[in-house]
Amino acid sequence: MTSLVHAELLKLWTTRTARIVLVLAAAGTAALTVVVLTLAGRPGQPALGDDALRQLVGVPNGPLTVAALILGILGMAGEFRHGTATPTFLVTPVRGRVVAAKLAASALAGLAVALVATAVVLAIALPWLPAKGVQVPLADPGLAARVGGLAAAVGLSGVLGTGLGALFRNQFAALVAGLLLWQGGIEDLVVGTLGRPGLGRWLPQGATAALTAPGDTTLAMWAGALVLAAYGLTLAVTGGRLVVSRDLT
Amino acid sequence: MAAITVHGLTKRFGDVLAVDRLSFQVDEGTVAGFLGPNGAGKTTTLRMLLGLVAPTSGTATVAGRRYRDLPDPARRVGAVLEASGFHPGRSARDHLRIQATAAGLPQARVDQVLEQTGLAAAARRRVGGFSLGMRQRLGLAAALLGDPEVLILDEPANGLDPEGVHWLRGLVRGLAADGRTVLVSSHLLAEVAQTVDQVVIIDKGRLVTQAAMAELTAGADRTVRVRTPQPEALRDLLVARGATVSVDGPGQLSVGGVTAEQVGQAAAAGGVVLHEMRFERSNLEDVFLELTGGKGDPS
Repeated sequence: MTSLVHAELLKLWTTRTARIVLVLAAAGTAALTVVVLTLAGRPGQPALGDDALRQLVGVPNGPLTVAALILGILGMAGEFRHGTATPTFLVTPVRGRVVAAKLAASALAGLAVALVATAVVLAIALPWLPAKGVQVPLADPGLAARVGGLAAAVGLSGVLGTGLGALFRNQFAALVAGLLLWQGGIEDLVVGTLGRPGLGRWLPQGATAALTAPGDTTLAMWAGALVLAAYGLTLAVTGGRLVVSRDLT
Repeated sequence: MAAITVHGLTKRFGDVLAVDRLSFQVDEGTVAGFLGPNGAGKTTTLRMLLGLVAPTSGTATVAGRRYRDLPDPARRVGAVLEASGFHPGRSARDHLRIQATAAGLPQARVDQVLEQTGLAAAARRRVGGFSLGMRQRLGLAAALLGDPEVLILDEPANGLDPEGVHWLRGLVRGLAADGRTVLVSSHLLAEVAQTVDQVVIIDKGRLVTQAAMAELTAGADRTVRVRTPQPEALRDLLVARGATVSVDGPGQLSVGGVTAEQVGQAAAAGGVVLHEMRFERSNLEDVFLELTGGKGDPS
């Protein structure tokens, strides 16, 4: 299984699209951090407090979860788009193992993206915050929890992407569905239409928020992680069954 | 012992019966041609053999096991399939590295098969810029990674230039000389005639014949073409001797089932004038077309 996960990570790393997505995620993180730090304290914007670093770490969660989602989708549906599913399943005819390896690889890729982004945030914010008169408590346990929450959210987005890719097996359809459902404000629409604001925290975006920006209205972090993982695994199992049973002609 | 066994194999896609109770076997160390016109069910059969398509009924096994039950399939079977794809953005070398990693094969094999298939110089180029012939070579390189004892090649000559076809023949001969089993499909008999020991011919999903190449060649040499001003008389004489006779044109007959000598004797005995008689080594392609219903579907 380790060699299969290794092979899946190699697949991601050896395509240009994946590298572009990673670079864009890092660049987006840098840009967001700079914007937040520049605007902070200006009229109409909240000033930076002692928890500034904690807040900043969670700021790029949007682009990062989208990046991981896209990587997950490309990793799975791309096999069908380019016909590489044939050589893949020739080497590993028990297809469920391939799906499992992809889930693990996309989760790992998501973790890596989150950690790289955190490093970018710290690299920008650590020298900047003291200049703004903010003390930076690096030993803050809340900070570690935020980094962990972000990593979990982004990693699980990779799992969701893999599940979507397996469900659709058509790269374009999976990308459209993924972006619409998870990032397109559909959740707000659903919650608004139903008039049940409490429902939102159980939906994928809400569960992601529990991990990246925990607050009074969100689930606890662990619960958010469980909910997100449940969405991802449900998709992966449903899609995985299709991947396993379909003829590859 | 049989390296490949197909038994009662059937595949239905909706209303289309792609493969219909097909049975044949390929012995260890044999090079077998798997022939049939386009659309005969060759690719579907090979994909069922490789666990990519689930049979509606029947079995297809390699070394007595279903492909998905083979331990270490990449070390047992190497396959080149037509619709097998490559990510256009990946280099040839990266494609092979990934395959080797997933199969648990040593990375050193990657450079060896690149060398073996003549791709070493192009190894770091993106596959998107590869010609069809180079892609076929890359497919072969991937099939050879695990140094398998059984090779399954689906129309491997497609897209190769004449030099590439020549190279491919040499490669297949070399693999056969090592004692490997090769099943190679083609819609052109001539393409594989020089390389294979036996042929399995299918049409419309059914087995037409499985024969040693020598038998097929023997069957190909039995047409005598005759030109005579008395075709009816000669036809009656020959039919009486058990020959099959067809009229090719005015005064022209095609005679099967007898030798040229027998035709001459019949003509002399019946006092029939012959203007021309030629023993025609009808080529293998004619035999093939005849066996498969012979329209030469160009699709």
